[in-house]
Amino acid sequence: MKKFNALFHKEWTEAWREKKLVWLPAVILLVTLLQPISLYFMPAILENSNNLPSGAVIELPIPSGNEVLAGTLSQFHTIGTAIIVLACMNVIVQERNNGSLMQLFSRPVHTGTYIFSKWTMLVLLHLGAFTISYGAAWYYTNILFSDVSFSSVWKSCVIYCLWIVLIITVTLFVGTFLRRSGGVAGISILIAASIAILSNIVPDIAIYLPSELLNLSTELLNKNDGNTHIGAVLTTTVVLIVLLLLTMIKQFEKSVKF
Amino acid sequence: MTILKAQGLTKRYGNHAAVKDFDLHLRERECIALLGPNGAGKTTTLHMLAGLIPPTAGVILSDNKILNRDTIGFLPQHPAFFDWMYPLEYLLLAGTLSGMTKRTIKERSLQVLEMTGLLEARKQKIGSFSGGMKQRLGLAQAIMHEPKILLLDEPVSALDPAGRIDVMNILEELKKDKAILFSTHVLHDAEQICDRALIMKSGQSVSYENIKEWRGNQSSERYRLETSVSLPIEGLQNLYEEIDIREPKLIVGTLRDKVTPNMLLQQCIRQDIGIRYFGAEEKTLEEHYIEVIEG
Repeated sequence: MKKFNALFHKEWTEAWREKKLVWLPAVILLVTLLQPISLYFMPAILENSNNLPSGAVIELPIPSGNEVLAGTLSQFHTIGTAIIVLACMNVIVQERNNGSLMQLFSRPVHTGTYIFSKWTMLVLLHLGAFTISYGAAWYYTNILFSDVSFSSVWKSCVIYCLWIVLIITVTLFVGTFLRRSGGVAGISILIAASIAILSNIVPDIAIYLPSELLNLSTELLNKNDGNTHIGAVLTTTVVLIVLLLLTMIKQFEKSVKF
Repeated sequence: MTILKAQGLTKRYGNHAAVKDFDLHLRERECIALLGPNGAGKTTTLHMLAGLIPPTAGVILSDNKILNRDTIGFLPQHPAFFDWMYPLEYLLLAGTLSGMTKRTIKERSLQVLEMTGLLEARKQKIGSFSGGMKQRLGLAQAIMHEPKILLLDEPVSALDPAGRIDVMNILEELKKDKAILFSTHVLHDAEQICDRALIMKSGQSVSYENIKEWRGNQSSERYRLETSVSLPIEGLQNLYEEIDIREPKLIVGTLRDKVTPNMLLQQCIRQDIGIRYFGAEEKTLEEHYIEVIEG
């Protein structure tokens, strides 16, 4: 536990000194806030764009707060996923390539301790940044559009957080196999995309796939009632995360780490 | 007592054997140099001994027990740190990972920084360190937890001459209570501070040299003669048993029975040859090394 704490502390200090602690939440905040704000100003934006014929009348239905927040989530789902992958791709690869990993492991450190210290830090950082950003988006939605109930917001937030944890885990997992950060990012995004494609190709199993997490959380916002297959998705996602973590530790232990 | 013992150590990568059937007996307070050309398997051997890579075959023991990683201090060939850290932070991390308590870490880290001459630089980030400073910090982290065994992979190859002498002095100091195994290409250093030298060639240990013993029974029969003009060999040849003309003005050789060095000198004086240097020639580790590697 002492060793975990030492490594965990190291991760946070590193994130602070390299200012990841600043730019990552800032970028996530920007991505999430963009949706409610740009939707609010959409009529003004359209009016000011001068390629409309004079006299054109634009009538946009004002979306409900629930719809706006759901849109925020879908927006984050594409751009945010990429941001998370990019933020995590270097985490193991860099230390392995420059040799500091080898020097660390010349001491009695368990592979699991090392990986968990990184995973825990990344999960806390990303979930923290996302929760704050989502909360801010909720705040603006309430002001600019109609009120959304807190109970549906926090439920959708918790469910969507699981997707973020999964993406972090997948990226770390690929990072234990490959030595190039570009490859890590590419393969991780490929995995995330193929989950989504799979759910389109085989709709029968779609309700079990983690890609369903987005649909679930937007549904929760729109209908605010429990969904029947919520358990199935949660189970597969959690099982997938645990499996990835275990394989990653095993694989990292026996493969050439350096 | 053998503090680090390796038997039949082998490492294969596919069909290629990086290290084959390697044996080592490192006794307490003994210093062994690991010599050999690039690619001889020195680094692989050190990595196996440090527990970084598992050997394909063979055992590594300490006092006939399985080796405890806490008793080993390891310095990789290219020490790598986290550039954003301060030296004391790295030593704190390293010490904690080696199971030291916070209080001992505080005292010990200042001590090792002092030893390696980095005390002045403790307010700088490691990222701003020069190669030599990183090498010293690497040595500092290796001795941080007071290991009984030190494994050093080319501790001086990245250093300037002054830094090299500093590191050698530190090793001389450490030798008093630790067993040291280090690889190097600087044979002179190995000769100075090591008790034994182990020469490796294509993954195998080919020769175990006992440097101390060697120094004791140096044959003083070989003499080195340097002159200011080219030597007329003919006049001297009958005095020599064996002659090695290295340069026109430099010859090394053993004298014939009953020929004393003085007779050789007299001969030179008689022929009016200016002598620049005359002395007993010791066989150096370098000569021996080249013999072993090429032979």
